Amino acid sequence: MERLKRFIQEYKISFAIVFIFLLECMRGSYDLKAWSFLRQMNIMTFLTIGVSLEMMSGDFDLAFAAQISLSTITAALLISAGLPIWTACIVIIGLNAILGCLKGFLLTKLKMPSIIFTLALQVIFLNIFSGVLPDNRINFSDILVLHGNRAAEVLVTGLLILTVCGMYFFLNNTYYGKYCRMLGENMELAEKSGLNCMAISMIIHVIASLFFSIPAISIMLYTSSGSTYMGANYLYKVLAAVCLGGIGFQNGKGSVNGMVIGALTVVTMLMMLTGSGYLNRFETILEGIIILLALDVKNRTKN
Amino acid sequence: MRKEFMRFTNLYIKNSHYERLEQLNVIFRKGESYLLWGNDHTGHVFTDIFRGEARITSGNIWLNDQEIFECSREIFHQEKIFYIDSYTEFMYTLDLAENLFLLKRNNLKKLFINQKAIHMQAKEMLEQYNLPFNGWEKTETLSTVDKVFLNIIRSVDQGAQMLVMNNLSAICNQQDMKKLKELLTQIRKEEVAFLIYDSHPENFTDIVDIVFLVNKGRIEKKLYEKSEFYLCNKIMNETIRNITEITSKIVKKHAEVMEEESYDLSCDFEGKEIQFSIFRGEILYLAIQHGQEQSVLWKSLKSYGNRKELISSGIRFWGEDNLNTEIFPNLSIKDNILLPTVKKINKLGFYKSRERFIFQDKEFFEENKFITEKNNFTDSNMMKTIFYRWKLFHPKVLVLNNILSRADVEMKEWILKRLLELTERKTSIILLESAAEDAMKIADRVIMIKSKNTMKDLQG
Repeated sequence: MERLKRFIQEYKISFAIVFIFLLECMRGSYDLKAWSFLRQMNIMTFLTIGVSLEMMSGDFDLAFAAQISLSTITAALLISAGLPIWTACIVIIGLNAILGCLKGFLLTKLKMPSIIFTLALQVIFLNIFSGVLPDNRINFSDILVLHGNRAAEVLVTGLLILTVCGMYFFLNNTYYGKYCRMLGENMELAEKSGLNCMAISMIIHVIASLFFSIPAISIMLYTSSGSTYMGANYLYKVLAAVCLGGIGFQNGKGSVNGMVIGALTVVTMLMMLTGSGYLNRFETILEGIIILLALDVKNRTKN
Repeated sequence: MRKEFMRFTNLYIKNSHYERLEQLNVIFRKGESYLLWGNDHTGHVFTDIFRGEARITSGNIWLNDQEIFECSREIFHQEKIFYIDSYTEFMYTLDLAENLFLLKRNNLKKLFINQKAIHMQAKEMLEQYNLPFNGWEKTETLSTVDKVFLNIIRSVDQGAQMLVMNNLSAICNQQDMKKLKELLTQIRKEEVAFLIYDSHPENFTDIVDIVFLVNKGRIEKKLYEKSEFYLCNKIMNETIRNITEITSKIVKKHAEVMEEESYDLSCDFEGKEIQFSIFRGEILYLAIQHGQEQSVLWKSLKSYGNRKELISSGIRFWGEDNLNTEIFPNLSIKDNILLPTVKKINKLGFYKSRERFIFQDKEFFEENKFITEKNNFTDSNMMKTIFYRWKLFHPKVLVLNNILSRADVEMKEWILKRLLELTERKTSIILLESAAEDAMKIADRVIMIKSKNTMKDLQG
């Protein structure tokens, strides 16, 4: 009972938002599109889990959205060149794993502030194909491959449930889960204690990047295209979800519950804003508020 | 006989605050405990070695039969020598048992944690050392002393060879101190050595095997008898008194020797013989009225007597006329510095193995930048190279002709510093200088050579 109380207390804002949304849906203010909600939820949760994992290990990742865009463009180019779709999906996974590995290696090796470093990576990733694709977009099919495919939605949801369970197990029952928190809380102490921080950081970033590759594949197949703007839509939303999920930056704190609740809250908010027609008007303000929120979280952890 | 695992031989170290410890000759054996006892606080520099805050200026550290060249915490950590002070960190995201078992080197092959095993092991360990904690406990609420106790048993669990403890009494009340001593006594039985530095060393005399009396950056005495440990203060004071007496005697004797030790030199000038003497470590300025006469005197000094004799008696000449010829442009700057000393470094000429120690010695060699520049023999680099050469070679008398006047303002300052360093090493310097002002500034004595060989000796 005590635990439940604490849980509700911790996520009261999220619960309030979801509650209002459900209430409004029942009153008929919003049209609840279940499949659309599910699709958004799937993508958001995967991304939130990935970013949260990185954040728990002490790295604030601003490059994940660009990483998604880069992988969608790469895959779309390959499909256009005649490669089968499943091979392109494997390429996306492989590319993300390499990028994750690189991120982990460079962040630990160079010991740069992760915000600046990932911001630089973001710029690089977004502009890699700017010379090749004048519109920064490539369509590989006129027909939307996965549009309205409910079996695929169910499959991704099943994968998400497995991921959430796996993540829970990872954080609580594996050495790497514990190391992830240790790196986030006090990397210096972890290094002094003799842990191989670079290897651990690389593994964590690879796992996180694999989580990014699933939404990247989904988005590419939903839209049958690759674009530099594809991931950009999710950047601040995912960061908001991470903040709302109570994931600590540089203190190693956070839980899988928080990640899922954070994603749920943001998707609900998006649905509400879309339903009221305010999404485009308030999106940029929302992004600014979220950055402030993130900085505030960082300051609090420092203090 | 206990097995030796670490040895300091003639070790000189300096910490980040430029505090020094000199002439350390210590052997550490397994299961032995050592206490640093000092009236001043320089003993803590000793613990800085293991904290990774000290730098070796000369001497050697042998650790498990291998020489180590830097004092880094990681190296000692790898050899199971752990440094413990009152600032002990724990991970708050982990519970106590996890903190005990996860904060250590791991080969990363293990994936799953057996939480039950970890907590059982922690329980067993805490019971073994009589520590009233629970493995599931959160570490945020632990006091500093508790963290130190846990850190000690964590280190022992990791197979510690030696624990280096720095001023732990500062955080202990009487009860905690009793507990700490009990814990250390128990650990001693497990063949773990420890080295203690503390501002209240008397607290630990009953649990140590050897006491090092440290004073002004030196180990003055080593006490091996337990009965002596209780008299440490008295012995220390006596030792210091003796040392002061001995030192003052040495200083006095040295001063007398200095007064006595001088070199008599002579040369032909304008058809007559000039004789003068120079003391060890003195800078003598031979002032002369006209530039032309100075060059005559310089040549006469150089050519006086047999050149071989001059060289064997340790007299060297360096002037503006042979500024460039002293340098071998095909050799590196390092080799140019080492050249005349090569035989001294190694009789067979294998000087390269010792080269590193010479250039790492910050006492001798302040600048690393210019030696790494490949054969960049600019004027200032040439001067630097040759000055370091003399400093290393350490001649008895060095005669310099117009070196100061060849240098710019910045270089002049640099040369003056180096000249003083040379004299500290007891090299006598004779200056023949047209830049009289600069020479006067640094000279201990001036001999005026007027025309027609009238000489005047000016002191001060």
